[in-house]
Amino acid sequence: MISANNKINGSFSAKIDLPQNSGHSADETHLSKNNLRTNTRRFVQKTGAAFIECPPRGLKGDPNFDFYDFLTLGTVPYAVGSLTFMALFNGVGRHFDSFSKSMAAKTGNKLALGVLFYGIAKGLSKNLITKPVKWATGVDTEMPFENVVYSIPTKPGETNITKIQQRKVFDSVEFPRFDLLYDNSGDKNQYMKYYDSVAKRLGVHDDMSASDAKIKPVIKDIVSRTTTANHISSYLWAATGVAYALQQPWDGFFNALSSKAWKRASGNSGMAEKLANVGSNLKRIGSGFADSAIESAKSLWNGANGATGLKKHAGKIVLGVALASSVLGATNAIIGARKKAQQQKAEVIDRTKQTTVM
Amino acid sequence: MYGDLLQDYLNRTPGQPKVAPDVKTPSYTPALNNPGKKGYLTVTDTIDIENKVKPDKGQGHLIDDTLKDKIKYFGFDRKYDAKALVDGYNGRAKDHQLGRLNDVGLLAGGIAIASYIAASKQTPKAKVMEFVGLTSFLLAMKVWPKVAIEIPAKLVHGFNVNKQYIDDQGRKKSVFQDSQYIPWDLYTGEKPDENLSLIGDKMGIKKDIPNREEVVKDQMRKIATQNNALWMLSAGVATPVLGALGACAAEGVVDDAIENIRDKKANTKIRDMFRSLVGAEDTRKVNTKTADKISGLLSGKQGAAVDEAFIDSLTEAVSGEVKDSKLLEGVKADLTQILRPSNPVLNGEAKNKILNNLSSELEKMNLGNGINLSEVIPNMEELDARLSEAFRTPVGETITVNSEAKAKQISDVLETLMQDKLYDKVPKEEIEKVTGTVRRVSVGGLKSSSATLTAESSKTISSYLNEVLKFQETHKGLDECMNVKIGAREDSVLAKNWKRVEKALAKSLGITDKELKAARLGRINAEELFAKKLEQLAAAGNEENYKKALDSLAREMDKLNIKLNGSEAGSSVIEDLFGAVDKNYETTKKGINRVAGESNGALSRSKFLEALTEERFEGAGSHKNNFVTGARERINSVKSTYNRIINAFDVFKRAGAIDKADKEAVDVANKVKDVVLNAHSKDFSEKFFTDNNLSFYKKIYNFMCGGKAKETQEVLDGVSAAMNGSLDEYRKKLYNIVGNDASKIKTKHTVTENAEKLYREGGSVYSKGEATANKIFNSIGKAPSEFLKDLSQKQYNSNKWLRTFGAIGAGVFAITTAAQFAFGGKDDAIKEVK
Repeated sequence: MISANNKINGSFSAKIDLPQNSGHSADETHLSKNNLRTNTRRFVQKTGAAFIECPPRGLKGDPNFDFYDFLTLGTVPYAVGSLTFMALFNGVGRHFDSFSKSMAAKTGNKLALGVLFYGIAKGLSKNLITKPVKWATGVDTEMPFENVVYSIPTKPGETNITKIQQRKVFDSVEFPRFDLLYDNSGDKNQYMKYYDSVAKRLGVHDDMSASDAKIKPVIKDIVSRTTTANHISSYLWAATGVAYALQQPWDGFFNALSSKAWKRASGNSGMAEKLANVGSNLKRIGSGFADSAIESAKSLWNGANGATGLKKHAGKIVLGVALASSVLGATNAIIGARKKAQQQKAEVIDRTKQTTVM
Repeated sequence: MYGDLLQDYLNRTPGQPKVAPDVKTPSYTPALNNPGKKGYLTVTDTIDIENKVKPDKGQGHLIDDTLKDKIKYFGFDRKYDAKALVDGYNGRAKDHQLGRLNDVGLLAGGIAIASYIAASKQTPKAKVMEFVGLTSFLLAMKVWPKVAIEIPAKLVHGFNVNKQYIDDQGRKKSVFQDSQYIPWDLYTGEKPDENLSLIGDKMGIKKDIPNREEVVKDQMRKIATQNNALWMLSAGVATPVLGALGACAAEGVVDDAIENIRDKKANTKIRDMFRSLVGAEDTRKVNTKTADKISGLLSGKQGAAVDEAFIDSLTEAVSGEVKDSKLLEGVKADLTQILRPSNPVLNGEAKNKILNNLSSELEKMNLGNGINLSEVIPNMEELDARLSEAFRTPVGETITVNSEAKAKQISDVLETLMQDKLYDKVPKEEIEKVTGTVRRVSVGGLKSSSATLTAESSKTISSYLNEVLKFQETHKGLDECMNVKIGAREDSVLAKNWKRVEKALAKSLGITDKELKAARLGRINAEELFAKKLEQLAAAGNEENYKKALDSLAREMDKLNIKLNGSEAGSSVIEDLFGAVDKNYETTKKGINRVAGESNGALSRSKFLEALTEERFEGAGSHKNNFVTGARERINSVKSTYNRIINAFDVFKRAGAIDKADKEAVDVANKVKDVVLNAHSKDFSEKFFTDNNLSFYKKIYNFMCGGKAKETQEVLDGVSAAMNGSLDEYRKKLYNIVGNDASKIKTKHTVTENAEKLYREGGSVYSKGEATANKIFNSIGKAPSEFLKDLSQKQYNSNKWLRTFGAIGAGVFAITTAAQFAFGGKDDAIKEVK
């Protein structure tokens, strides 16, 4: 950077030109949209980092391995653990005699499906709370942003010191990235657009001038309630997913999926026929999945044939508890937000109080 | 101004202070311009701080690694989590609280899953195991970082990488989890664990390097980061595997514990029920819900007319408790008897009705191409005359039809009358048709009025159903006890003992895993294996091993007797149970007969009682017979299987002692060896394919059922007094089955009367009738080779699972522990050379 005649060749501001292989154009922390495309990209980036980038740095004891990297690495036990669970239930079956193999596979397949549904239900169930809260209050607690961090160089001449972190604005409830929610495009009226919109949605905008200071505590309140509800309800929905996967009608799907059920094309058929055969087999598997899914949902709700008492109603109970937790969580957040907003609106300076200014 | 500063900076060469040294300042060695040297702040001049203000002590404190602290903070954690939940709900939560709520959610979800699966399991053990599995998994999550990361790190590097601390706001955190915020100020050095220089000694940091404390801190941070990464990478495999292995280990303990609890409860219940049933008074209870329902039904219809629907409703109320369909039919028939409608009467009105119906029916029939009906239809006088003749009563008297026979007689009278009247007037075929019509009409005319629920019949019904319900309630309790002891479920005492005997057999025969793998695939492999092992044990000179093997096996088998008989000397729980069952039937019989006696003829012959005990046919097909025989035969078949295995041991031992030169004896012995291990009931009925060579066949069964090796006698005597007797009894039964002279095959293998009598004397009185294939099977016992095949399958599968995942668990542990030695780096500048 320092050339022979002591002239500066580089710049020292935060806005440096990144090397070409950094992979994206933005050079500073910026908000992202909360849609499927963005979320998929974030998921891929984060998971890739978890498996490829973070482990070597962690195992080397890199001084830049911070708390975010540690949490990112936390994805690994989830994924590996899920596969391990599936192996625990299914891995040894191939050594068994054929009768034991088929019997073990019946349970093992359902348990593996249970692991899968656990993850899916846990991830998707958050929307049952965050979407209604967003609609009713204007605050999307899952609002993502991409954080650009500059780390300490550990070797001489190291220039690739930027890290991309996939974070959410409201990851922390004590220190949310409120600074990212201001509109810096220049128009004075738009500066507090976000806070104004939240205030409007909560019905307190008319009496608020500088809405940001009043609304920030309300947002914190919403985040606290929503996050609490998410933490509890996501696991209860995961339990429902497991219960769903253990229903007996899934046997039909696994039978359709087995290699014995695969219909072979006749020996000397051409490529087109072979493709058509593959297509029809996939269609068969697909409709097998749909049938099993519907029948299993009914079985979860109604209980197994001939079941009585708790066994009959267990499915309803599990589903009911999960649903209740989501409903309670969402309503609690929305009602709490409204109440807090009203409180904030009412907090005015008490002009009758006397203070001494030094 | 800025430009000047910049130029100064650029012009400065390393080592030159920018400001004139009027104050002692530290010199700075930037890392970038000193390749190869670490950029540590090397203090060459120091500032005297003796009387200056020192920094405050850290507000928080580290948590000790002692058990006392762990227990103390366990409660602290639970309170903290509860408060976090409340604060989170009310919108007041802080970040640390929200972080802990994730673990609360994990626990809630785990309990939900365990509860759901437990609800669908049948046996108590399976239900408990779901929660054991959950606990094992959660424990594995906590134990893995401790055992595989923390302890090895402490041993290799000398400090706790998972150290916890309480911060100034009272929150429990991990010291090294966030590498940018490590509370070094809490390492005050008061305790050896918290003394950085001692830790540095353990890590092998050179004692004379400048700024040793900074070096130690950096090294600790690095090792802790590496261990955190290792934890994340290994936990995915280790936690589920460890959790599963832990649950597997706990399963045996849980199994035994639950079995003992259930068995004790059943023993107490059996004793109590037996004592109360043999007592003088009938203290049996009824199911109050059903009893209330019935009394409600009865009181609702007091004095009203009742029909079949009412009887059905009573039967339905009873069917909530009584599930056996034959008994229910009996109840319905009895109720119908009690509520029998008042007998129809054949008075003038009824007779007129019959004659009118008859004429209208005959009109419809268009007899004999239009005959004059008025000539054919009998009139009242003719009917009266015929009736008086038939019943020997005065003409025109009202006849009470109080039996089916009487009704038939009336019908016959009318028939004969019509036939006489039609004799010459219509063809024979039409007379037959008329006969049918007459019958129908007469029955219709004699239709009885519906019954009423009088006070007396209500009382009879009430006491009758009381007896039925008392029987059922007691029987249910006894049935439950029977299930605990010998039920067809995996957690009954009988089933559990069977499993243990399987294990004991595999152990005493010394079967290896490889042999299990082959034996499970087919019966022939199992046959060969069993024969091979017994040959080895029975070989001359191997007496000690034979005795040891037979002893351990027999002890396990004897445990069944101990468990079934209970621990009180002089009494047997299982016999008490059978006695109680007997008594229940007896008392019910007495009760129903008493009700029948008090009913003034309303209940003369109880069909329920017939279905219950079938006294007419000595019990064949009755409820009592089915229940008791089923139970006795179940026990019998298990004991026979055990005895057959012991007999196999003995046969091989005796066969080993035969002189090899005696060809015939050797042939017989070989055949017996094959039969005792492998023959099924069909083979028995085929007389082992000896082709009617009766003398050879006799030699076979004599060898099989007679004679006992000395060693066998000694071992069985040593196990318990009853074992030898049990084996002898088994042989006696076997002899009676095989040793009859009847010719070859029949569809049902009949034993001679003599053998049947002998069997009955020795066995259960309730198993009457021809000796069926089933009875033979129960007395012969399961083929030992098949016993071996089944157990091979089960044991091989569970051994394989355990071996596979035990190896994976051990492997992950070994790798994780070994990685510890690679951590920390080998920088000679700071580390002492060992």
